Amino acid sequence: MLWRNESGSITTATLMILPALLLGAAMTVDLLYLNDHRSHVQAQADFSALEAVRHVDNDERAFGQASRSVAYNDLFPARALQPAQVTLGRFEQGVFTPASIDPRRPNAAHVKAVADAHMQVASFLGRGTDTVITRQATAVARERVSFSLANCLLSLNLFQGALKPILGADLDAICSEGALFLRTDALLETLSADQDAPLTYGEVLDAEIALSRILSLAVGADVNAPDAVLRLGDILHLDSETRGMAIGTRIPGSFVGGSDLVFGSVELLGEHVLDLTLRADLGPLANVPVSLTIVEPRRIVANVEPGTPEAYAETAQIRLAVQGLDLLGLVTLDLSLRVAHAEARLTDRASSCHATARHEPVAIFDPVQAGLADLHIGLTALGLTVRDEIALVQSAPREIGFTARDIARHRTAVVAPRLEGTLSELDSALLSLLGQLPLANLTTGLVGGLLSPILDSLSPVENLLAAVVHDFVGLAIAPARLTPLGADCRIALVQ
Amino acid sequence: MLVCRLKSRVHRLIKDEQGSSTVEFSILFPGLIFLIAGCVWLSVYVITIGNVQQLTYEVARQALQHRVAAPDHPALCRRVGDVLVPEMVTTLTLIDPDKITGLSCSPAEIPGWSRVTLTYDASTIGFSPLIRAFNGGSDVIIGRALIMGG
Repeated sequence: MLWRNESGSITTATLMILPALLLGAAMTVDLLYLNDHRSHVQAQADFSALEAVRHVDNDERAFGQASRSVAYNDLFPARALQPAQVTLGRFEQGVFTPASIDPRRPNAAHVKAVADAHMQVASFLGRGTDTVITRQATAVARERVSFSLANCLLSLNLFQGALKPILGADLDAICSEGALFLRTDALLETLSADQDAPLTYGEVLDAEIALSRILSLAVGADVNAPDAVLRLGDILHLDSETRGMAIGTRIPGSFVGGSDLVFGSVELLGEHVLDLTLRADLGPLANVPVSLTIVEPRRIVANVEPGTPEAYAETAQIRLAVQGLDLLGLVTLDLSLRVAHAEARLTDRASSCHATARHEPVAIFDPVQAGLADLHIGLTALGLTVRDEIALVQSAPREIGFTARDIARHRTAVVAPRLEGTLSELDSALLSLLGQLPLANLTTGLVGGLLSPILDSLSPVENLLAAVVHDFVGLAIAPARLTPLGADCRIALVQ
Repeated sequence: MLVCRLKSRVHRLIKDEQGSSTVEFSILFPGLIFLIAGCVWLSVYVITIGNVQQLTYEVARQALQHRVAAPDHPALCRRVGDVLVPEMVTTLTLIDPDKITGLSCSPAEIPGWSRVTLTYDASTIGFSPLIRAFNGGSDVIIGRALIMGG
């Protein structure tokens, strides 16, 4: 009987099983192919997020860059990106917040890539076209800029008396072209060696550090300074993320000027440790003691994110004063002057993440301004005192941009206070003030009628007063220099 | 008498169906083994293709992530060739570093863009003559990625 004959049963069984085996093999290959496709779509999402995040300051550019990235890496075709698939936003502490919710400047790009899976076997079985592969990626741009705003020569003049005994010949080179710029990470790492096992850069900034140690590092030579300690964090400002970095972590593109450190330290310690009284030649009067008060020390900025509240630097706010200066035995002069200080704020209108090739600015400062300087003047004669407050320098806000090449070359922009007409206005104010004193009777016969309207030329007291005040004002008004020290953009996938 | 007995035994042997399954199986076995081995090698080949492409993508991904302020094309390519490929190649199990026969990092159509191409010699994969047919007659697997940047 045919059905009882078992000859060829193995062959028959094999033939029956073979299609299943082949189908299984084909499905295996299909699944491997699908796996490759998934990897590819993930790569497309990753690439486009990494490309888009370079343009977080421009929605259109970000979307264009992401779309092109998906389109060009086309080993497996993906669906064209739609605007809703590219989202810009903030990524902080592991959470991505779209720009529609967080109004701050975006620092991350989230991309969702979608592709239709093409499975040959599944499609043969009628289920090949409804499989959609969706992959998402989030990339973060960590952009940081370091910059210095300093009026080095002015500081040198003002603090020469206090620093000369400490730094000696090293002081002369501090504002020169070859002045030291220190890498922030190396500086803090070196300082951490003296501390009690700090873990982060923030802890080093908050620690009390010997003045001599800071000055030694700032000038690159051993310095024997008075025993005093200071908190570097009071003048050197890092953003919170950098403060939390472990010591030893590299902070690319972050520098601090050596002169900034020296003068900043002096400003911090000036009131208590160092005698900041300086002596100046004011007109014909030589070696006049001028007291110097630090109202607010300078703010040095290293490694800050553009556009954030901490992304601004300012020079120190200083007040100079002369008390009881005797002018020809007739008038006693009191002067108090706020030194013109400058400030610069780094905006988020430029980015170092994409602009290098286009020679666009990578850092835009706005406003950059020389602050208002005001002079308080008091004249006393015969027991009568007259006072006035004279605004000397008008604020002059402006915008300054730097390209990557400018930063690499440490190009400096000069922020000069507007001085046009200042001295003539000052002279008028002085004359007016002097006119309020009862000097005419006293001086007639002595110097020929000091304020006599019939005299065209200035009297000796007026001349002396003008010369003294001009020189006094000259101590305090000098251009500041804005120097971007480094810009860095790090881009990384985070999700 | 002896011849007669021998004939009878041969006749019985021919007529005897005991062990026929074994014979059938032994005939089919090589074919089955061939088929299964073919499937395995094909899978290895497909996985290798995926790994080569994955390696190329990983290199591109890392190159993009490590770019600081958009370096120029030569700097990027130096980094790809000197650092990234040697580092990344050890992370993929089916990739033999010695079989990477070529790495090209060339400027793409648009200035600032770079095209990374990695070639891998797959000739030692089993069934290569057969598999070659699936790969346009070539033993080489090519991975490609475009790095835009800028």
